[in-house]
This record gives sequence, structure tokens and C-alpha cells, in this order.
Amino acid sequence: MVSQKLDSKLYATVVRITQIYLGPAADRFIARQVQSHLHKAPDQISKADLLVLIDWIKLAMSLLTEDADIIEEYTSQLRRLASPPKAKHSRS
Amino acid sequence: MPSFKTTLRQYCVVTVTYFLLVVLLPANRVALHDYNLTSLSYHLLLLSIVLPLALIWFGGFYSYARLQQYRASIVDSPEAGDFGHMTRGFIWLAWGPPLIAIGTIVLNTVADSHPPFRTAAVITANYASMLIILIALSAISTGTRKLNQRNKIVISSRGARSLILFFMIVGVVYCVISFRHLDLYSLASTNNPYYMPVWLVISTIVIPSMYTWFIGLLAAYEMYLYSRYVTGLLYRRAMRLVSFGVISVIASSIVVQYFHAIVPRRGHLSLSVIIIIVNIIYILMASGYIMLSLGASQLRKIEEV
Repeated sequence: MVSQKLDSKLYATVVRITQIYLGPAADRFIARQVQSHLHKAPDQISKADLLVLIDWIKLAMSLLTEDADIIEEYTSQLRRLASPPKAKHSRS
Repeated sequence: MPSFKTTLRQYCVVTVTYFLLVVLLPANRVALHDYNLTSLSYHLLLLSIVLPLALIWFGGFYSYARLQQYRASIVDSPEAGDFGHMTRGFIWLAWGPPLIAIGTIVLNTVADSHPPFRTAAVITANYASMLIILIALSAISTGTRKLNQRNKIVISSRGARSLILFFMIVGVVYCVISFRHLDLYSLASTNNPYYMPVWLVISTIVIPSMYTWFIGLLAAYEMYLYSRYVTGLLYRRAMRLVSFGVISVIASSIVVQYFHAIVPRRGHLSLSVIIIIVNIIYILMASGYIMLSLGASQLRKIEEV
């Protein structure tokens, strides 16, 4: 149950980042990428799926724009979600 | 929803019908007399006017087919209904001019052989063209209004004031010019290019026309606001093309109707400066249809990858 909540939160975060580039089409865009390439329900994506999803998103975005900077900016924001959180170093 | 090919086939049928009517129907006697034309030169002249029109009509049909395709690609989304309204408006804008042209040329030919029918022909053509643009712009305006409401985009006080001021200037100039054609000393006089009593012209032509233009201006402004403030870098780029297209088509439709209103039609051939101005406006309309088609194609691509 907790894991499902985290997954749908991840999906919402991915959509929120995508909205910066695709506006109202963002939700549909991500749902389509997840369903057709990962064969999952959109809100079931996990961090483990993210890197594959980012590759597909990069490919799809390159069909929409030739501006490499936009694609790089977008995918780097998504990659940050995939990277594990930095461990907190406690001072001894 | 008809397919893209069906829409283009419909365009071909309508355009070929009009071309056949232009070539086959007898020349208008009033025009032959007024401009000292032979039957052959009359038909050639009419064809030279009709050819650019046919290209504009193609733009209209092509762009609404593109909008329909985009709407079909977002059919389950909340904004599908809003784009549905806009598409319906553009369907009216695309079908209206060729159907009015066909109707007008038939009515004028009948009126040419039965002169008492001329009054009915002019009145019918004037009302039909006004009604079609009213329906078209109302539908587009409903779509743009709902799109903005959904995205919580509102017209600023400054924007509203500028719009009202601009509309007042357009309205006053229109009244000053069009009232010159009316016998304002007698409200019942039908001695005007509309062949109707003055009170009827004012209440059923002047006021509805001004209302239509205001609705159109409002829709164009709301479309501009939507394309400016909606989120999404790539979506906004595509939407900006749609927006410029919508604004150009609405503005040019209004200006064409404006010129027809201040110099009402007496027949289906007019060789005045107005026809040159109207043709320039048609170029603006054509570029609007091109931008609208490009924008709708880009939006659809976003929904397909």
C-alpha cells in the first residue's frame, strides 16, 4: 500500500516536470510512454523503471523538437528523480 | 467524424459545383451593362475572382480537417470539448463561403430573368452570410472561453478596456459609413442596398453584425491569452501557431464582412476598390489557415509520439 502511494507520487512528479514542456498534454504523454513501452499502468511506475522511461522520453522528445538543450534540460530533471537520495553524513 | 480524405473530397465537390455554375450559368445582365462586358469577358473575369477564392476555401477545409484530427487524438481529455467547439466554428467558416457563393450565383441568375425576385435574392444572401459567420464565431468563442476558464486565464482589466475601445472605434466607423446608404429620414424607407426598411436593417443587420464582430474579437483575444499563458514550452509553441491562425482567420473574416456590410452586394460581381482590399484580406486569411493547420499538426504530433 505504502509502495503504491510512493509510485503514484513518482508518477505525479514525472508529470509535473513534463508539464513544463508539454503543458496540458503532459499527463497523456507520460501515460502513453509508460503503457506502450513499459507495459504498465501509468501510476505503477517505480524508480527502477525510470531510466528506461527516460530513454523513451528522450526519443519521443527528439521527434517533437530539434532543440537539444530543451531535451537535455528535461531529461536531466527526470534523471535526478532516478538517482538515489544522497546519504546524510553525521558528524562524529 | 468524416476522415481527412472525405473532407477534401467534399471540398472538391463544392468547388467543382461552383466552377460549373460560374462557367455554365448565363452572364448577369446588370453586370454586363454596368461594366460594358461581353459574355465571354464576364465569365473570364468571374473565373479570375473565383480562382483565389477556391484556394482560400481549400485552406478552410484543410485546417478544419487538421483540427478535427487533433481533437480526435485528445478525445478523452477535458479540453476535447473546447477544441470541439472551435472545430465546429471552423467547419462553419469553411463551408459557409462556398455555400453562400453557390446560393448567391443561383439566386442572382434567377433574379436576372425574374427581376421582382432580386430583392429576395439580395436579402437572402445578406442574411445567410451574416448568420453563418455569427454561428461560426459564437462556436469559436465558446471554445476559447472554456479553454481559458479551464486554465484559470482571465482577461485583465487593461485588456478588457483596450478591447472595448477598439470595438467602439470599429463600431462607430461602421455605423457612420453604413448609415450613408440608408434613408434615415424615413425608418420605413426601403430605398437602400439592403432592400429593407431602415428599422429592419438596423435591428437585424447592423446590431447582429456588430455583436458578431465583438464575439469574434473577444475569441481572438482569448485565444491569444491562452497561447501566451498556458503551461508547456513545446505545447505553447504549437498553440501560438494555432492562435495566430485563429486570430488571422477571425480578423480577416470580420474585415471581409465589414467591407461587404459598408458596401452591400447588389450582384455577384463587383469591380470596385473594395474587391482589391478584400483580396488582400484573403491573403491574410490564407496565411491564417496555413498557421492554423501547422499548429494543429504540431499539437497532434505531441499526442501521437
